[in-house]
Amino acid sequence: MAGSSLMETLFQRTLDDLIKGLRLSLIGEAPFISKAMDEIRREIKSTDHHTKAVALQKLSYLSSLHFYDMSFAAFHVVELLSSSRFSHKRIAYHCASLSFNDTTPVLVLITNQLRKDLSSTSEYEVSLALECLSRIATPDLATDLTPEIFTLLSSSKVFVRKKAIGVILRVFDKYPDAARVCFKRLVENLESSDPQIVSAAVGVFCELSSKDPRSYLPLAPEFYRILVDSKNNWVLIKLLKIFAKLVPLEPRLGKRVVEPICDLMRRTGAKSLVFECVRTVVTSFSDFESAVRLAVEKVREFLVDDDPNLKYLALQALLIVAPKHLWAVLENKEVVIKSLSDVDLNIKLESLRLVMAMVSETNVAEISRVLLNYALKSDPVFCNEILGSILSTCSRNVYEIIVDFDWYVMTLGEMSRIPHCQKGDEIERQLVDIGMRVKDVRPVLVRLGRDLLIDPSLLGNPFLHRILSAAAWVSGEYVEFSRNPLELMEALLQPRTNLLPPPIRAVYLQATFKVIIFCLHSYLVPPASQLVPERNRPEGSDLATSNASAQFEREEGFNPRVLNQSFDDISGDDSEEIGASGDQTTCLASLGTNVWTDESVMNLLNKVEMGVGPLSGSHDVEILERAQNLLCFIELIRQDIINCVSQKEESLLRDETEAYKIIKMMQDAFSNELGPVSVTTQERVPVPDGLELKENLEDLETILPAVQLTSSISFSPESPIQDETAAAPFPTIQNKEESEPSNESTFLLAEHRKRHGLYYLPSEKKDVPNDYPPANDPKSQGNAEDLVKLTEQSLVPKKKSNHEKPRPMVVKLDGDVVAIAAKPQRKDDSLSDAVREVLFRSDTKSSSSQLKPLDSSSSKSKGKEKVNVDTPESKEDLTIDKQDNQNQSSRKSKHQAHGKDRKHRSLRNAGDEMTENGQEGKKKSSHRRSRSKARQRTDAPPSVIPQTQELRVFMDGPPNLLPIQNPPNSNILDWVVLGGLIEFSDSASIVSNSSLQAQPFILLESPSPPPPLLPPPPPPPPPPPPPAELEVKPNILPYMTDSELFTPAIAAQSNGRSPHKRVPKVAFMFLSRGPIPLGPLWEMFFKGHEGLYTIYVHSHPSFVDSTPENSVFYKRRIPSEPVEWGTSTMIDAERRLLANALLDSSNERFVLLSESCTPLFNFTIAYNYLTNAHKSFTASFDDPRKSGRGRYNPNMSPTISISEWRKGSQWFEVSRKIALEIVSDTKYYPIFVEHCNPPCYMDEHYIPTLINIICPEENSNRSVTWVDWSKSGPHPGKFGRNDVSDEFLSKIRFGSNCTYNGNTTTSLCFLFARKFLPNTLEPLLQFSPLLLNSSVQL
Amino acid sequence: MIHFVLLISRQGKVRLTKWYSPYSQKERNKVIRELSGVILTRGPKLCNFVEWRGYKVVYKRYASLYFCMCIDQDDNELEVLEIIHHYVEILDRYFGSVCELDLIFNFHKAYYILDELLIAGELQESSKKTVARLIAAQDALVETAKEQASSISNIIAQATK
Repeated sequence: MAGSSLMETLFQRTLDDLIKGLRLSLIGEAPFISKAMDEIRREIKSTDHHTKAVALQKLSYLSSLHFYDMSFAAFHVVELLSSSRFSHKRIAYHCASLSFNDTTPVLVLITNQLRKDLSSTSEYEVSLALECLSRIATPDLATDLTPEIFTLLSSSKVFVRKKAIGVILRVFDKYPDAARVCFKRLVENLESSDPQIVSAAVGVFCELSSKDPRSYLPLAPEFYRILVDSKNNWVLIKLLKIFAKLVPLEPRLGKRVVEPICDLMRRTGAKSLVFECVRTVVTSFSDFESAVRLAVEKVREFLVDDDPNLKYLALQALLIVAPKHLWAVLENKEVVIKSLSDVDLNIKLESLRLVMAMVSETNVAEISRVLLNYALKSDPVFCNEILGSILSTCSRNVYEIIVDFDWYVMTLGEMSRIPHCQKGDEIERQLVDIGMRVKDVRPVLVRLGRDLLIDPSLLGNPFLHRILSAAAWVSGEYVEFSRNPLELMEALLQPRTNLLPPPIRAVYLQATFKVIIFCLHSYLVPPASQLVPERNRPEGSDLATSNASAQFEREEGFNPRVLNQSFDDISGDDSEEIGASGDQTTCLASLGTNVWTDESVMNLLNKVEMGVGPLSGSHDVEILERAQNLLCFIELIRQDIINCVSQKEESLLRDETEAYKIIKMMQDAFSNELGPVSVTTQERVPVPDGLELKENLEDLETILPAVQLTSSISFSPESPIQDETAAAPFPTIQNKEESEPSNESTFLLAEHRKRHGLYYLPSEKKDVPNDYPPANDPKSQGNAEDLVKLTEQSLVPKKKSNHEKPRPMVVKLDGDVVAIAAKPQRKDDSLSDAVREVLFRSDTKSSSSQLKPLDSSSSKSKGKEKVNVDTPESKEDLTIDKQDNQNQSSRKSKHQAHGKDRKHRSLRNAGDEMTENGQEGKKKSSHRRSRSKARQRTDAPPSVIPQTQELRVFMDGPPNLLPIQNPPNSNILDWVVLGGLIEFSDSASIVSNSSLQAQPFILLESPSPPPPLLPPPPPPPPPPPPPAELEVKPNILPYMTDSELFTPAIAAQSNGRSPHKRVPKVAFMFLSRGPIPLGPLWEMFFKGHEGLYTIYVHSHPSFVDSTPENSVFYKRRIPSEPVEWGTSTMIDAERRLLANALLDSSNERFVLLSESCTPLFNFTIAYNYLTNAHKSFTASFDDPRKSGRGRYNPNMSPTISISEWRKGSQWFEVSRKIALEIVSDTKYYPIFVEHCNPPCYMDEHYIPTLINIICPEENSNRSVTWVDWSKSGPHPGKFGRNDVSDEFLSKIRFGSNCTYNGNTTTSLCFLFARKFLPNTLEPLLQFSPLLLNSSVQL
Repeated sequence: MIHFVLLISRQGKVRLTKWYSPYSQKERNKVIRELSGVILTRGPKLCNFVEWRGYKVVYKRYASLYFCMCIDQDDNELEVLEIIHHYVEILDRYFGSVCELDLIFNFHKAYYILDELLIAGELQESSKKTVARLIAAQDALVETAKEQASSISNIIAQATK
């Protein structure tokens, strides 16, 4: 035993040997492998791990490259897994992930081994196990190993953690409940500082959200943060995918995200990222015109790129954008059309789809023509693609875009003559379908049918057989429109029809039958009793007089002469047949009808007999039966017909004969119109009792093994439709159409007859079976340029062009238009439940327990009571969410009800409120704390909940996303729902601030109406979500705009005079585009004065912040909107800053600064200067010049008079009172927005005027921000590095005189100075000892 | 996500397969046959994407070898092209101007490298250096083990146990 093991070890073939052997393949591959497999089977059983490992290695090679089954080795894999050697383990894990699947029986054995390896100290072993798990995890494995994965999710080793994150995807898939455990950690990983971790986590969320995006909406703020911060393209692409999924669910999100995405699109050089941006925009942001424009611009760049990949993708993007923004396609149509002739089939297909997307009812004809011409010279594959797409486009929605059906039917005929056409089935379907649905087109259809049937060459092409079948069917069914039934009959019976497959031949026979009935009927039945009197038939058969013809000629422009001519040709060649019909071959049966003579009828019967006779012995049951029917029928009536012939004179008696009755009956049967049948009709027919549909059918197969199913078009009589329109006259054939083409084809038939001799003894030998010529010469050999030219006109959207004919009625059935807009059912799978639960904490159990009656809480402490009182509301919100996520209107109504409810309840609680009012102070502080927590996420322990909150903040609080209260035992940050307001605090504070309650709540509940909200500015600014939106007001829907920010800000102010003393703070509000270049100087300025200032930064939303954590500017950005110079967006931004700053009730003074501002004195001086001032420092003066009063718009009167009009620097400094006035102003703001347009610049007038109107006495009418207006021009002077000098600074600092607090004249007028370029930082820092020198005293 | 990765030679020989979605052995064989039919026949200078069974296959040819990855409809094709290139670069760095033979004889190495690059059909490591370092570390681990195993005393110990 030991010996053999040794031998195996020493002489075992390694994988290398195996590969070499395979490559040499001396004995052929298969025998060699089977020999090797034998060896492997032997070696694998070895007790020596090394031998086993090598065997498995070889096996895995053969399995993955030569597809040999290795399931037999599963147990050995498990054995090897337990090896202590890394190399063995690696092979074993590789084999496991290669070959194990859910049904592998030994899977249960590896749980422990996996667990052991997952908790191994060697990171490489852990990684092996993780990799394997990512591939083979089953529900059981996932369940058992979730704790280990959970631990690894926060592993300190990046290498392991990112793999654990990757595995999560599979684990959630198999065991959704794992989300309850792991989800929070997964979310935490999004905040990791390691880019690889973030990347992995984002990748997982991308996959997760592609399955059920709604559950991940609450994470949108987090994604947004990464989108703005990340510079990793891999991550950005995934994020874009996530947003593409999320945005359709939450339109407000789109407004936030669209700007950064556009920015990314402009900025990045990576094509893949650009393309992802484009795709995201075109799929999910199609309502954002400017974004789409930008995307289309990028698409255009791609289109003209040499790289076929970019071209292909650009075409795809256009295809996505086409339904909503057709202009995008039209703008690029030249390239699109040119791409039709690209070398790459894929690109050609995409451009074809695009061309079809451009089709509308006005240009369908032209585009189809162009494409058909192009199809003629394309290779067969693409040719059929073109045909297919034309067919499907035209037939979409029951031929929605077809107006001219005559044209369409002719086009179908044209298609069938294209040599490569393989779309017979579809053309057949449509021909029959149109025949049944559109009455008006039947004459054309019959003519087309005749042209097709009569052309013997078509019979040789098997692809056309189906079309011929349709042609035969329409010709038979609508034979009354045929000009020459006899001719039709000949065509249907021509000998070459034996080339047709039996089912189609059967259709031919049936059509023959119909034609005969029609002919005999028109022969026998006096026109007076004809079914369709409108046809205006002449009096009797033998009275086919010139008088009747004349009548026709007069009435319908009928011109027998032309017809006669055409038939003379035939008669010349074909004496017998035509001779028989003789002069009355004018048997233009359909019209002139009763031009039948007795001979011609006899002749007809004979011919049919002759043609059908041989088929009565057919082996095909369909043919056999129909042929027999036909023959028997002829037998049946022949005698009577002969009698008729012999008693020609007594023709009046005809209608008494048996034959007459039979024919009449048949004609009645056939004239019963067939209508289209809805696909659902069958289901509606109840199965009669005793009819067994399912049994015994298996036997059938054995009995008739070779039965070919015929084409499955089912016809059924549908008289109701017929009845409706029976009164309407049948259109008569338009004589003008009686011209070239049909003559031509008649000529063809004559030629054919000449070749084959009349009637047609089978003489196939002469035939070259496939000698049919291509019906259309590919004469238009133009290239792509021609194509472009051709389509040039047709693609231009035209006004309704010359439709002489109105669109005919098209019969539609309810089942025809498939309900495409079926609402996708939200898949409430367990994973999304779990995720939602983690994100919303909406445990059904806990929430149901909270649904206690109000009174039950009375025994508890006040705080608890409050919670209990209000919890049902949040529960309501959640219910709404569950019931109907989409339906805005229902949500709205629900909320109105909800609002009432709340009001109602608040009345009951009025008493409570009174007492609670006294506790404002406490509440205030908790309010503040919670706010700051929300703002500075770093302060709070990381958790999922802040994101939930932030999401609302982010999107301005859609009530349906409200989280509901936490389970009481939760130790993380909790949500407490307070009236209409949601307070964010941790559970400890619930107890300590048991009486906590929010002022806004009272405001809202008070009988007097709340301060009117700001009307949204003209371009409704996308909702800015500062940290203040802890508030939810269900009665404000659907947006929480600036106004909703301002309300709490105002509220925070109005109760801001809290009894206890606070240290006043100064709010430094930076309005910047991006970074603050002089930041380091400001850092020095603020250093050491923490607690005396707060900083707010309003920068462009797309600005990617890289502020280090230790900076005073870190996390001081407020949610912002783009600002444009000179527009109201500037004021919006200022108000936004003020509102945010007002929320901190210790802020007493508010300074607006720009990114180019520099401090002129140290913090202490500035602080004292401002906090001790009695008045605000905002420049506000009456300028009589054009640049002042000249900007006043008389339309502002009477709200604002010209004497109140002021001008001043935008860079204000205001007290809290004025700040509040600015934020709560609803009177003047709209006036300015409406009437202050360039050259009136709102930022120079709004605040100065407002202050002048409201509280002129509170303002010192000067600014503390120095600026150099000495140079003329619209913008003040700028200062670069060379300007900064000792004297210069001194001049600014002390060079002017002003009053301070009334009477004190001082030279210290300016605290800040503007327009210092970034390059002044260095000199300014040099002078910082001077600037920030503390020795200067006020 | 990436559903599978295939390396196929110009002659249609399979050089590496990795399946991130469940496919039975039979299906795998079929998929490869189907795809090599589609991809190998495509000429040069055409676009690198093929639509296939509702998925997209992104492929790129390097010398005689086609690297193919199958992705979902809405995945980013260009990104996948970059992943492929990324993989090739790592292989190149590892083998030193990699050629098909390297992959033939170091089938498992190519596999392990791929495993460091992708997990569960997602890119897990975008740094070439990191992948190279990880693979080298694991190789070292194997090497030391191998040395131990192949020492004579070990063999004798094995034989006589």
